Amino acid sequence: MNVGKFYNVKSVIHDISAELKFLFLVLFSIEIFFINKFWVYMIILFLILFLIKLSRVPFKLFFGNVKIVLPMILLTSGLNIFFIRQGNVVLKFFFVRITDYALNLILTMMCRIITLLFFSLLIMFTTSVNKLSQAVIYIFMPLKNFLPVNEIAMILNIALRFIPVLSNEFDLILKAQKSRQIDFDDKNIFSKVKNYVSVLIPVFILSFRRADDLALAMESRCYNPDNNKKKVLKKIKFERVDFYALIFIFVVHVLIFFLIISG
Amino acid sequence: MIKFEGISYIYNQGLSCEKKALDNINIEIDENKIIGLIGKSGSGKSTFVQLFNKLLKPTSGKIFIDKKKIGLVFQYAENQIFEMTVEEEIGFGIRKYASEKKIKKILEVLDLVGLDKSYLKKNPFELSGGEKRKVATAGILVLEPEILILDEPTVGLDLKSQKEILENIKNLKQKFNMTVIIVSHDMNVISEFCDKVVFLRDGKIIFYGDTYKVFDLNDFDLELPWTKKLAKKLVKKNFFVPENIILFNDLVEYIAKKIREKEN
Ligand SMILES: Nc1ncnc2c1ncn2[C@@H]1O[C@H](COP(=O)(O)OP(=O)(O)O)[C@@H](O)[C@H]1O
Ligand SMILES: [Mg+2]
Repeated sequence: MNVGKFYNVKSVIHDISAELKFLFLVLFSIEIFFINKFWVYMIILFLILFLIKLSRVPFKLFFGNVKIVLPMILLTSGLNIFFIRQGNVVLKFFFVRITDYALNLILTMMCRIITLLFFSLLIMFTTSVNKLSQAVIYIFMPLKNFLPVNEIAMILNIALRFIPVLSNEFDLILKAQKSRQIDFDDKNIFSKVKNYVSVLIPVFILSFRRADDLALAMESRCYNPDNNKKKVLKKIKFERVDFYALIFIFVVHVLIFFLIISG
Repeated sequence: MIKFEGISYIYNQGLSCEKKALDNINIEIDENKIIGLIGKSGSGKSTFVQLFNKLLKPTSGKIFIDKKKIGLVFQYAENQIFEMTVEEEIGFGIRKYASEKKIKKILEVLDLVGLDKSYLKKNPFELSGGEKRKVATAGILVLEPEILILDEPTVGLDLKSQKEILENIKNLKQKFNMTVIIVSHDMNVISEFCDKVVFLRDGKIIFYGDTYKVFDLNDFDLELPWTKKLAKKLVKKNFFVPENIILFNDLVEYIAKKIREKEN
């Protein structure tokens, strides 16, 4: 499994400065809550697929991740669809009523999660953890009197680094439990839940212990976030790719804005 | 039959981080023996053992295994614990058994890994690393596997516990005709307990044969078990010791016999 690990190849997307990518990710995750038209998501998804193609990160990696999240999305939306009563009823059997409003809501919600997932994965695959945390420091530096910027960047850095580690751990423990004849394809919903608990508990315990060990290790090597503050930050270099990226972002925004207004 | 034909395994196939962990493995493993699996870290040992119970599907090649119950105790098995008592933890694999039969079985394996009855109600999370490992091992043994695979079972255990577990498994093997595969870096463990040895290097099997033979091949650059070291020193001092003697008891017997002969 390969969740959110830096994928080291050369591509235009890799070359774009981490600051710009991070800013755009933040912007995008805010914007996405204002979009509620299905066809706009189709355009965005198409654009993201185009960017993925440019990044030379195999599609396989993205879909692997969707596969993990999809059951969760389906479960939550599946529950929602039965309980939302607003709108016109389009489907009716026994006591179940499904409305057009519910369908639309759930469709956009699913699109939202999937586009956001794809986009953040794209950023994670194409930006090394170091660059990303540097970017965070850089962007939040003006706020350093109000926010512990270095600590935030450090936490982000560690969190990102440990995603692949934990996903490996999850994989390994899943296998270990399988070899104890724990059947993860069990049809009975109760044993199914119980069986997954047998993986989640060890993973949680491991990650807490990891965090504990890491804190100790950092302390014993005299980590002090305040030391970093004295470091002079490198000036960001704005390369030509960044300029093109900015234009791209701008054009896409204008385009979608007009589409929404005229649609 | 435990047979591997042209087995290769590639991690992350098709990606830039592709890694060939196993490369054209051909081997038929002897049954009802204790087999040692050795090789440097990264040579593919853990990958190899996961093929036995289909946790990994080979990238190419065929596997013929006519056994159903294959128990694999993972490296760092202490990380797999999830129940609130040792009893439930060990009994999880046989939770469908009637309670009387279950508890009998649990006590049996608890004894095999060298823990006593007082552990039954303990919280496994409060045990030491070595004890957790024992509990996890017991959780596999309780399934009565026909092939038992232990991936680095002795790392982090005190010498006495190491010996105890392995002795018990050896006895168990004799009783139930199990095939046991032990992955280990410890040549003393390998020489004392294994009938045969598989040697992996860079995903290829470069040796499969009797344990004593592997220590006589100089190009393998192995750390020798201390019985073998002693034998070699003795040979240098003109005290002949046959090269197939690697067990501690055999060595003692042989030397004692020789000394007796000289005295007479
Ligand atoms: N999940 C994995 N993803 C990618 N590569 C792996 C994975 N597991 C093992 N490898 C690689 O396969 C090779 C063999 O690993 P492994 O079977 O664990 O060796 P050993 O157990 O002998 O130390 C190593 O080079 C390792 O880096
Ligand atoms: Mg290993």
